[in-house]
Amino acid sequence: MGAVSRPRPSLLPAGSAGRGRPARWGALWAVLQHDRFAFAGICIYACFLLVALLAPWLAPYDPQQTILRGDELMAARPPGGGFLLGTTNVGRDIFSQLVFGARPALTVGFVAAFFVVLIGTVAGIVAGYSGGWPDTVLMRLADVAFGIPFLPFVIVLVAFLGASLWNIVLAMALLLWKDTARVVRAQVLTLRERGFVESARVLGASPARIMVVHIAPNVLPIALLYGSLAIGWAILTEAAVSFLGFGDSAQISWGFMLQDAYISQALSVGAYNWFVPPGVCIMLLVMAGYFISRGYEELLFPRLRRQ
Amino acid sequence: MTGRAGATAAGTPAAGHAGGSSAGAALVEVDGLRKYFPLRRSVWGRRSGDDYLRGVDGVSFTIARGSSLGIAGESGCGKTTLARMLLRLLTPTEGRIVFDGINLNALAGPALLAFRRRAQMMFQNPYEAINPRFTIGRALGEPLVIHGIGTGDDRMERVLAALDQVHLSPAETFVDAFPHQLSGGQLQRVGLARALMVDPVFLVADEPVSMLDVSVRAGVLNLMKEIARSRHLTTVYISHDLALVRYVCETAMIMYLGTACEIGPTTEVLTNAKHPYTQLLLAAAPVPDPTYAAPEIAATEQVPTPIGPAAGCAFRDRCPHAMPVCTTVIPRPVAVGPNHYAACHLYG
Amino acid sequence: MTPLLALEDLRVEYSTRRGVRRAVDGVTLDVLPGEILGLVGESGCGKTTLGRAIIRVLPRNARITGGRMWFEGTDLAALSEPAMRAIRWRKIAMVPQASMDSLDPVYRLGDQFLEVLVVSGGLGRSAARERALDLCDLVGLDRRRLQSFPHELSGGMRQRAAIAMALALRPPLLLADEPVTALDVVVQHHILRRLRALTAELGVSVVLITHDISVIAQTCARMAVMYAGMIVEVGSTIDVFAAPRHPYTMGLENSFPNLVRPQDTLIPIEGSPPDLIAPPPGCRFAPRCPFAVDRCTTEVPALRELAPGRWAACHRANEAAELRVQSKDARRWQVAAR
Repeated sequence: MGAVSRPRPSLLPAGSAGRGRPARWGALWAVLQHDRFAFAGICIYACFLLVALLAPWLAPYDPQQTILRGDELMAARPPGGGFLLGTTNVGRDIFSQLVFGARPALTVGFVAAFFVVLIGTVAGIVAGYSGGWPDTVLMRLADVAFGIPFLPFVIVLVAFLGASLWNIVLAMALLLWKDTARVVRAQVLTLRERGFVESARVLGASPARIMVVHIAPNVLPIALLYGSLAIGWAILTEAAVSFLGFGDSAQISWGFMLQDAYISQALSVGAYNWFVPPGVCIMLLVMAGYFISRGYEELLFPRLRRQ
Repeated sequence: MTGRAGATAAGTPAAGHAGGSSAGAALVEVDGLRKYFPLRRSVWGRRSGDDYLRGVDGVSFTIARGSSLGIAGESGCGKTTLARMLLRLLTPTEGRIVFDGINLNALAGPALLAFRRRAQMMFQNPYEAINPRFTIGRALGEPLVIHGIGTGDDRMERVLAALDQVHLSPAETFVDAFPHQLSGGQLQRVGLARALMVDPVFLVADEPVSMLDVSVRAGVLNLMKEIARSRHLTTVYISHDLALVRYVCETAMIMYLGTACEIGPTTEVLTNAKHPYTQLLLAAAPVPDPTYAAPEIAATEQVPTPIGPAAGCAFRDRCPHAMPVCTTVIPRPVAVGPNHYAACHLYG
Repeated sequence: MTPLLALEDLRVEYSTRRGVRRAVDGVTLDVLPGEILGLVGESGCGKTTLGRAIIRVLPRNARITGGRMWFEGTDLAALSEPAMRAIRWRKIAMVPQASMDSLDPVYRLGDQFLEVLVVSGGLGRSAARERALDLCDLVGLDRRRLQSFPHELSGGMRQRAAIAMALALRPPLLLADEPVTALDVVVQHHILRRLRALTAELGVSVVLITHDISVIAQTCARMAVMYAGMIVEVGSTIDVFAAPRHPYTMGLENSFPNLVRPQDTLIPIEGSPPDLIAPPPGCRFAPRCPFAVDRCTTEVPALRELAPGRWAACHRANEAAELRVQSKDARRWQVAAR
């Protein structure tokens, strides 16, 4: 096979070249550079990822450990003197807690988002392409999911199954797939009518093959968009659940820190060094997720891009 | 779903008998085909009264092996619906299609897959018919994958050979290209190549050149003619362009509002048109000759929508020769020449 | 006869990511009063851009970069936008491509007519209503249709409505871009007939832009052929069909199926139009031309008047008779794009 030289120029009307070309990494990078917010978002995520990975080396102390210096319990210390953010009222290092707190946040975020995307996309594709009763069943399930209030459900599930990180993830996956499914299904309904789907049928492709080979790649971008939004949701949810006291007490998460601070009346004693950092971290991560998804959306829908 | 009671071969126009013999080997037999589209889904699932649109309304014909049939008509005449039923992309409401002795309605599973190897389609919009994310090579390889033909290197050989056959050379250049990099004419050749990958015996082309530039159409049409001849393909061309049908097809069938008005050898139908609708189309068709004086047309341009049960001839509202019987009795095809049938009360 | 519109070496460019595309590259063309001039060309030849340039509604990335457009003593290319607005619709109107889809779906037809007549035309409401009814008659639209919404009308009716709106202020020049392309043959026939009658009745000049030479054959007394941003041939329709002087025109006629006098073989034109971002030096058609000689690849042929009213842009135009004979041979056209 010889080297590929560009075939003869096409008769395409102006501006249609590029339609349908799979998103190249080059294009992605270009948009990310162009959109400073998205770029900032990626940087924030990268930072937190690094922090979470390197937590044991970054944190000076074990987050659960009550620290003694000599015989004295280092309780409620302000920042300084070896404690970057001070200590909690029982003598634990806040900074170490913060650093280790990145782990459950990111774990829950990514794992929950992954399942949300997976379940939502599969459901959306099957419902959209099959029509008939699979569509009805799946969409009625989605309706049920829409009707259930999110946080109470998570709390109830956790109360029944036990307070662990994975139960929180499960609860989120069970409820959050519906948004993705709805959107994916809508896209599939349009895709179903496209010429290349019909031609695949004529060629003899089975519905399964069409769904996997032709439909899925075309809905994946939008599913991933919802996935990136889901990360933010998941982190917030974990924080909320932990704050309310239903979280996994074996893990120090930011939500747990907030709850700890709250019941220790940190606000009234003015221990801002305790509850502000975890709050800021949650905020940063959720914001970063939003920026990334916004930049990504511009990649998907170029008309949104400023000329 | 009731079949048309007493459907007989007598009076069924037999299409495309190239040798002139009436008992020719028919590859496809269409009998009493109807496709109704429900407009308002009633709770009980039964159509009643005015609830349906008559897409195809009682069409019967046969296609002889190796012949080329042109199905022509204006938009809404049902030709596209008919094409899709011929390939089992739509199921008929009534009637049946027999392909090489097999009733298409009965096909399912492996038998349906086997049918798909023998009957293929070319689509109108080349840019839509191929997944824009696929390279040409992958698009051409897909039928081989679906039907389990060949392996690895052998498949690439077949893909390259197919590209050569449709005069896309050098083939290697095109294998890694994406659809948007090709011109409409080139992409339509790819569409043809893809249809031929499974070595079908039957090819339906749905307006294969209407979206291409004029100077490019001839190339694709010539290629299709040549390939159909060398592979002994039985072909059906769906088109609104009578000049195209005249250029490519041995047999022509004119459709109007779901019914077949006239069918017969193309030259006969287009030079000696018997059905008033065919005559109207011929009179209205633009001719690339400024010295040609187009005849006057009496018929209005208003086309009724075929909703509800059929009553009489579909063309009665616009026909200059309409008679009282046209409003009440649906005309059956009548022989008006050698192998030439028209469904009009003027002739019987 | 002084032309109604005289284009002089008009140039229009598009800025694209890949570079500057010279969509209209030196077009000189006259439109006479009261005539229907056909402008024929295939996709990408620049005919739509030309139409939009004349009425100055080009997209944001397009600019007129050269030449003049003389209309009633003024150069439209140099006119300011407010001045152009005064001319638009009153003096020059356009029926754009797929205009039957560009009617506002939420307003009745009559209201849309009135808007044009009252707002742009400055007529009083009762005068406008009268004119709206007249317009219906003019284009063959049933007056009762003024009460309808666009989606209630057929394609043919909507196209007539679009034509009526364009003629609302009785402009002397009408640009019609593919006015009948999406319509069925019978409707097409009626609308083209109507267009011819309009020219006779109102004295409107029409520039009919299309890719379909049979539409031109049926409707236009004079025609121009456009290729790759340039006009390659102009003349009376009868003469251009009977005795084309440019190889592209010969190729077009070879490839167009004729229902009444069917050809044995249609001969396509191999290859594709050139990339207008980097057009070839010399004649744009040379890579696909069976008669190209060395001169054709280096020197752009000028549009020359070979006989009164008869123009062609070909170095070998005076050999046209001989070339015509040769163009009937299919083998000559099997020229790979160079």
